[in-house]
Amino acid sequence: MAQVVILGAGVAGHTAALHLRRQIGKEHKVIVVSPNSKWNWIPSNIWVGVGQMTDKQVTFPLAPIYKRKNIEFHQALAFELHPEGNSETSKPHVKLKYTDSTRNGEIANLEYDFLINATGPKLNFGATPGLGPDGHTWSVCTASHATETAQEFEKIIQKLKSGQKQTLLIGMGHGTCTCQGAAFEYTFNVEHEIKSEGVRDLAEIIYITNEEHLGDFGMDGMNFGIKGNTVSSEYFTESLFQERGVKAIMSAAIEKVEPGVVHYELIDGTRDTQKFDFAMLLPPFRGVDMKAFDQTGIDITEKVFAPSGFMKVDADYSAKPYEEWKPSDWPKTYQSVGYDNIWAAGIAFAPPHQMSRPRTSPNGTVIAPAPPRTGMPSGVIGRAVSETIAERIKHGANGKVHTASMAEMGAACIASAGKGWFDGQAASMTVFPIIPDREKYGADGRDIKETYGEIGLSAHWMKHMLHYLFIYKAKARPFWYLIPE
Amino acid sequence: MSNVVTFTHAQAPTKRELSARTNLIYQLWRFLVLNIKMLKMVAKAHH
Ligand SMILES: Cc1cc2nc3c(=O)[nH]c(=O)nc-3n(C[C@H](O)[C@H](O)[C@H](O)COP(=O)(O)OP(=O)(O)OC[C@H]3O[C@@H](n4cnc5c(N)ncnc54)[C@H](O)[C@@H]3O)c2cc1C
Repeated sequence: MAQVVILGAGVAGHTAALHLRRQIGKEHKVIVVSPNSKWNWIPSNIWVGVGQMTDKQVTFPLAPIYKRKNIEFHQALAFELHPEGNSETSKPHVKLKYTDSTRNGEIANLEYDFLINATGPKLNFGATPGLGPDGHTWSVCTASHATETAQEFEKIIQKLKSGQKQTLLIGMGHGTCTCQGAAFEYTFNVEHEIKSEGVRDLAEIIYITNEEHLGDFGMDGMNFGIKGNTVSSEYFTESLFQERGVKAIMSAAIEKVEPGVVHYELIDGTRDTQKFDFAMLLPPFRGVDMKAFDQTGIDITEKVFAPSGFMKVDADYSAKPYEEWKPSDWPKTYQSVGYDNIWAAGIAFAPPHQMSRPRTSPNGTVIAPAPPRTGMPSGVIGRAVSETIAERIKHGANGKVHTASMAEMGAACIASAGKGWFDGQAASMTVFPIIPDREKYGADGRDIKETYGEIGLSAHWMKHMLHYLFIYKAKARPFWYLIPE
Repeated sequence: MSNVVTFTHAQAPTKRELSARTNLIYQLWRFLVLNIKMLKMVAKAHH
């Protein structure tokens, strides 16, 4: 009997758990560990954050699904990895701290034969003083954050309706943030709601970002092939900002937030402030707080994890100049460095380098987006890793190794720009491959036929359809596995 | 000088483009096209 432990029940971990359960016999155990009792369709949090959906519409309890699917669930936080066992046992294990009401605070060891680390990001609000719901800004990163944000946003609407001018600041709360797409979506949903309330003229909406120009999205931008023309994502995005009257501060790293004001540095080293009445600023991401120890108890965290806290896998992490970055630097199997029974899936793996050009201010501040890892690659990687493990369980070392390189994979991003069956809008963008390949596709690095952008109501319908489709799939309803990642 | 950029220089969508974005018949067609594009992309992602 094999025991597979999956840390994390987000896009990557939950996908891996459900697929693995289908692929291996009942004699093998699939165990999921996650500190939250609920699953969250994170992309729809932006609608919760403007009051267009409730927390309940984007989350559901995991335990009943796992019970039905014969997956063991531990509501706990993993905080130590012992890949070689310890002085008492040679069995690899993880140390957990339970978070459910019955075992809250209890510490236990959980043994594994195979381990998937799919713990996603730590929302590192602490990197910028005053950032986040415990400071002076709001967030939509979790369903509960988004619910609080919606309540605050409603107060802003009321103030606008009473004739008070308001400044809304949305974007990146640090110079190294990623997830520009989410901030972009929230910006345009906020704009859409304010317009629907008839008070747009009283609201100044400012998008603040670490991107060099709009449309970079942490991917060094892209060129879309639209109706036979090449249109840059910068041109595409600026046009939307122009149309909707949204302003922007670019190449900025927020240094601290005080009540109603952010202090930021620009790439030229100058510093300035921006006042706000409402701010939704995303935190930078880092790996969750997890340490690793060898059998003798020596701390091997640096061997297993990158300085960013993400897990090192089969990527080329050697430091080299931007011009020498290659698609082949990116991981294919997601197997951990040094341990062939551990994988990292989704955001949890350490990327070898940025995709956007690295930039530093004269003061040494890094102002460049970290590489985005969106839902689709996270799900695809989770599935590929589960297939590799199933092969290993069935065929031992001869089992097929499944790959999911982001350099050979495209991504589709549907960025909502306002919700509504008849007046909603979204920007639908596809990019292939995610990691630019300049040897294969020339200076653009991407296949222009497969890299495409379009704005319209149909993309909003698509975004709404994906909401229902992915929740259906995550609930493991009949034929869920036919829905692709 | 303010660091806040207003994108007055950017190309605004034409009236035709704007109406196409909400035209139900055209958007139903685009919905179909988008679905096909996404499915193709997804198919390429699985090895
Ligand atoms: C506001 C917002 C909007 C977004 N919109 C989109 C979008 O429209 N399209 C898109 O493709 N992507 C979008 N994304 C990105 C997408 O949500 C991520 O790519 C995806 O969630 C990553 O999956 P993951 O499994 O790696 O991490 P997550 O989904 O974050 O899952 C991590 C899991 O690990 C658990 N965990 C954390 N710490 C531990 C621990 N110590 N031990 C055990 N478990 C742990 C967490 O509770 C969670 O269950 C958005 C992100 C945000 C924040």
